Formats: sequence, structure tokens, C-alpha cells
Amino acid sequence: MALTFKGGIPVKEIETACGFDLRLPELCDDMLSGDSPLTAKGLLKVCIGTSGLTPDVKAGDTVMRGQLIADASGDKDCPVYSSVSGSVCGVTESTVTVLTDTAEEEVMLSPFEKPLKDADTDEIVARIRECGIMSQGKPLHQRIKDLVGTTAIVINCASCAPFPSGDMFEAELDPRAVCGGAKILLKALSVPYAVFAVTENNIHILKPLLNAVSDDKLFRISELKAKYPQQNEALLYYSLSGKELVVNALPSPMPAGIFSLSDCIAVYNAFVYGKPFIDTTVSVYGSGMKKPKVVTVPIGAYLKDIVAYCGAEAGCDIYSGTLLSASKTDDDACITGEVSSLIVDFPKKKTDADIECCIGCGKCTAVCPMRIMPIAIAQSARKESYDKCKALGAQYCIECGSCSFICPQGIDICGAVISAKEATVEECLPEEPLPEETIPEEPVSEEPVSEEPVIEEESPKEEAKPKSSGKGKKSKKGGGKKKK
Amino acid sequence: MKAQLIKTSKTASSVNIDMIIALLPVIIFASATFGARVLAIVAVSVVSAIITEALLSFLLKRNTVSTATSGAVTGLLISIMLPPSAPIWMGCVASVFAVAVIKISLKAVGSKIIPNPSATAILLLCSIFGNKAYLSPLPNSEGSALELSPSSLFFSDAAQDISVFDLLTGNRAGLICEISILLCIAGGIYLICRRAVDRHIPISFIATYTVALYLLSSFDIQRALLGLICSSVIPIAVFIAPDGISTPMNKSARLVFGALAGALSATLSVLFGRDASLFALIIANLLAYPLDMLLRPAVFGVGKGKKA
Repeated sequence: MALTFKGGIPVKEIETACGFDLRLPELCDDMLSGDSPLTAKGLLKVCIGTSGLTPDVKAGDTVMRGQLIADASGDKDCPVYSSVSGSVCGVTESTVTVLTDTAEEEVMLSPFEKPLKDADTDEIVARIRECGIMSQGKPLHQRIKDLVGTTAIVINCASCAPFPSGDMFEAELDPRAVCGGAKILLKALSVPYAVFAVTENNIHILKPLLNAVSDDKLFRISELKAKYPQQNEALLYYSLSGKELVVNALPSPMPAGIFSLSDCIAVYNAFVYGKPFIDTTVSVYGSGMKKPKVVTVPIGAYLKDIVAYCGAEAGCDIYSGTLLSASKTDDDACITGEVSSLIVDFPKKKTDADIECCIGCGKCTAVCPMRIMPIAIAQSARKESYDKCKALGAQYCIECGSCSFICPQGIDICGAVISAKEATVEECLPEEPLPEETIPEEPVSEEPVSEEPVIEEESPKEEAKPKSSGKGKKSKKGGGKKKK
Repeated sequence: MKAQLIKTSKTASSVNIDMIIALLPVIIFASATFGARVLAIVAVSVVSAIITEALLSFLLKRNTVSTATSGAVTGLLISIMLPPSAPIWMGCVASVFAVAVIKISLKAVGSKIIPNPSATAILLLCSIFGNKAYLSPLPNSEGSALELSPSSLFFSDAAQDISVFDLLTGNRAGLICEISILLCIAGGIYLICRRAVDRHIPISFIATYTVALYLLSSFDIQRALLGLICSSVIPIAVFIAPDGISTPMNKSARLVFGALAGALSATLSVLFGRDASLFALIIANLLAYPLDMLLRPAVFGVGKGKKA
């Protein structure tokens, strides 16, 4: 019996609503492979985010793929590496821009020397920091440090998009990297086993991984119903444990370490190949694509280059996030390591219906996974009674967009709730204490978000899951080093 | 700013069309029994509801997707609550009132408490025009003599002998919807299976009504079931009550709402000696918003008592 949560939208319903091609592509492309027209002409410009760090290179320098371009002084940040070989054509406080050449030179760090069983947490964390791995907008080593003492590790394979994300294709091709990375994370946190939380819609593509995982005592598999937004961490934790956590609370009350497939793969590559965090695999789909594509890209590549390479039609907008809750990207946005799917869609022509058109069907309330009453909040926000919004729980909205999706009148309920939430937080800032009950059994202090300049400033960030490049050689080293 | 790149294919129009599909057999049966006059009543109600709704939406610059079907449903609901002998203009008056005054104006001024549009319009007709709005001919009687519906007989005179077979086959006096009780049940099942109406209200409405009648008739289950099929509770619970704007939005509040309407229907009908379901429904409508706020579920992660 698959686990689940209350509310949400079955993935089937989302698939039905997609008017575009969702067939899986046969193979993954690599944007940096030899025959890519972009790299051959030296046209690929990569803009790598280095906010908060000091760039080590200056304009005119030649860099190799894998070369350090910005080092982190503090322990909170991690270094940044060039994801392409080429010449530096611009350095600002927060970015380094590289024009690629055809040299295809690359340098890697040396593999992690110790057998895993002898390594201690500090050494593992230091290696992860050295390789510059980012996860959920933070350096992964920082997340791991914050999680010390946790009792559970969950690998989040619960994406409920109608098209699998890039890291799932990576996991399909190389399940051993996922297992290896997960084992390193287990060791770093001294947790006995990790749970692979897989939604039913992803079982097919993750079959190789699940086969590899099923006979390993270090791993368990939990099947979840294919219902959006199961990938949300609070809902994932609820589905697995039956415990509800307060959402949007700071510090986060999440007692478990939840990692993505791309986290595992990046960690594996860092240890086994000494590969820094320079690539990510993204799936590109949407109404602006004739066929969906999966492509491995260097971190920092411009999104418009990526989607053009994938064959997107002209005049489309590029979105990150999910189909139900997408964020439109800027024109000059670059890929960061945490992005594993991009949606290409034509600009919306129809305007949303007015809130007054509500017919009171109650579907938004029924699907809201946070069990707030979205349309009631939207109506209160319209009258600017923000106390009412707060009383109705606007501040707990997770912005999943289920209410707007399901609304038979086509009202953008979620948008109204999000503005209500923002207004609520502003209005209540003085006296709004963080809900005290946020700390469950295992307080996991996460550092206050604000400190992390690396995340915010510029979209270009680094972070990635290496993958395609190492495929050939992976087999030999994979076995030896990692399994101890 | 978050964007929704896709929307559900179950729009208000598709839900309304399901509603129309569910109502068609009822209307066809009634016109087969009472003649084309029924079709005229239906057509006039539907057309006047659509025109009113379209006109007002245009004047208020409402950007909505479902004006025509929504108006059609209101018109249909009103026409099925009229007797086959009703004057044809009655449907027009009721439709215009339901749409203009309740559906659009009350909503436009932001009222939280909105009575059911079709139920209010019909009740208004009954109170103004009396007999004309609820007396009906018997099938095959050439429309001369008007009769009380069996439900009025049922509630006023317990000894009355009513044939269950006649009730089920429509050989009775009654409103357009009442004479085909089985088709109403089928329509309700269709709507619930298609998820076009919320299932909580019809189910709790009918169940509570039956239970309440069972208690009020001194634990006579046969009598309770007879009351259920001879009154207009089933069509009201299935087609009219689950209207969105006049009911709560939460599941639990909807269950309570349905139960309240069902219990009130039975009690008031026994008290007044005639079918009072529409009246009971409107009383429940007035309590819909308070119920909704009172019974809203605890927010995820925030305990029951602390709905802050």
C-alpha cells in the first residue's frame, strides 16, 4: 500500500492536462560533447556565480574545465570551479564569465584516497566542501553539518512532474553512483540506513536504481502514491513517518536529512573521480518543445542557449520549477546545479479569471495539502484583511499551485494566496514569533537563511551533478573505492 | 511570481455540461408524460437565465469562462422544480430573479451568506402565486384537475394510501423532477461518479432525512422510505443543494450542512404538514458560512486547537 498525504493532485490528472509530448527521449545529450555546434564555434558563454567569494581569475585568463576560479575563505562557503575550458571574458563581484574554446582540457582533483570505512565525518565533509557541491541553495557540506545527529536519511525520488527530472535519467544510467553517494552520506551522518522515497510514477525510470538498492541492507525503499506535490519535504516526511511538521518555519523543524538523487551522484563523483561540481543534467520539456530532451550541461550555461540547443521553438519563455508552480527565469539567467528540469512554454495569452467568479465548488480546499482554504484567503486578501488571512493560515502556503490548477473557473488562487502570505508576514513581523512547536524531537538547527549570500544574489550558481563525462571510466573505480 | 503553465481540463463548463446531461433524462421523461408544455417551461427558464447571466456578466465586466452553461444549469434547476402545469412565464420570472438578485448581485456585494438561487426563487414563487407554483395535474388527466403532490398528502394525512409502484414509475402528481425519482437517483449517481458535484452534501442530506423521518414516524422504516421517495428531497439533495456558492467548502462542514438540511427538512415537513425541503435548505444555506469557518480543518503541522 503506497504511502501518501491528504490533498494534492494525482499525476495522471496533470498528465491529462498537458497538451504536449511527454515521451521519454532515447538518450541523454551532452552539451559539451565534441559535435555540439555550440562548443565547436566557441559560442558557449558560461556565467558562473561566485557571490560572496573572491574570484581567483581575471579577464583574459585561460581556464580549464575543472579549474578553481573562486575560492571560499569562510567555512560556510565552498569553492567554485570552471565548468568549461576557455578564456575568461568578464569578472564581476558575483560572476565569472568564460567564453568556451575547443580545447576540451580538463583538470580534476585527485580521488578521495581513504577507504570509506576509515573516513570520519570531518574528512567527508571537507571533501564535499572542496568539490563545491551545492544542494537546495546551500553548500552541501553545510547542510550535512547541520544534520549531524539526525536519525534518518531520505533520498527524495518523489518528483511528481509528468516528465522525469534530469537526475532521474542520470540515476537510470548509473545507479551505482546514487548508491555510492548515499553510502557516503550515511557514513558522514552515522545513520544506519537510507530510505529511497519513490513515487509510483517514477518507478519505471528508476527501475535500475531500485534493483541495485533492493538487495542492499543499507537501503530501504518506500513507495509513495503519484500525487503532486509529494516532493515537498514536509509532505514527504509526513507520508513516511505520519508526523506533521510546521512548514515555512525557521529554523526548519525537519528532523531527517532529505537529499536528492543529484546530491548523491555529485558526492559519488567527488569521491571517486575527484570531480568538482561543474555539470548538471536537466530535462527540458513543455509546449514549446516538439520533443522533450534530456541534456547534460555545464553549470553556468545560459538557459536560452540550453533550450535553443534542445530545439525549443522561438519566442518561448523558460521556467524552472513545476508545471503547476513555475518561476519564469530572467533573460540572462544561467543554469545552477540544483535545477534538474526546465519548462519551455509559450507566453500565456489568456488572463486569469477574477476572484469574484468563484463558484464555491470547494475544490481548492479539497486539494490543498496544507489544508488551508485558499479561496477564502484570496477573498480576504482582496479586502486587505490580512489578520483574517493569517487566521486562515496564509503563512503556511507552500506555493504548490494545486489550487490554481484545479480551479474550474481558472482563477489564479495560488497567486493571490502568495501575495496574502507575503503581506501577512510583513504585517506581522514585529510580533510574529516563530511557531514554538516547530521543534520536534530532534532539533536540527539550520542556520538562518539570511546569512547565505551565495544563494541569493545571482541566479548563476554552481552546483551540479557530474555525470556524463565520467561514464566511461566509472565502472572500474566505482567498485573498488567506494564499497570499501 | 509563480505561474501555472497548465490547468485542469475539468472546467466549470465541463461540470455544468455534466449537470445538464444528468438533468436531461428527467426532463425528457416529464415531457413524455405531460407533453410539450414541459419543454416550453424548460426552454423559457433556460433562455431567460442565460440572457440574464450573460447581460449582467457583461455589464459587470466579469471575466468568466462559463456564463452560458452556468445560466443554463440555473434555468434547468428552476424548471424542474416547477409543476408541469405552471404558467410558462413563471420560469422566466424565477430565472431572472435567481440569476440577477442572488447569483450575481449578492455575490457582487461580497455577501458571505448566499441562499441557494434556484431554491429561493422557487420558494418566492410558491409564496406569491400559491397553488399555481406547486399543484400539478395527474399524468393522463388532460391537465384539467390539479392535485396536491403525494408528499403533501403523506405529511398531512398519515393514513393516506400511496402506491410505491406509482411513485417509482411516475404515475403521480408532482413537480417536473418528482415524477421521475429513479432518473433523479441515476442522475445523482452519474454526477457523483463524474465528480461534477460534491458527494458529501447529497449523501448526508438524504441519509439524515431518512433517519430523521424514521425517528419522527415512530421508528417505521417503511414510512420513512415512502416519505423519501414521495417528496422532492432526492432531486433537491442531488441537483439543487450541492450548488457551490451557497454551501460550505470543507468536507466536514459539507457533511454537517447536508445533515442539517436533511434533519430540518424532515422536521419541518412533519411540522408544516407539507414538503418543506426547499425551506430547510435555505435555512441551512444561511448557516453555511459560519459552519465553514467553524469546522475548517487544522492546518498541516499546526495542531487542532491552534488554528492561528
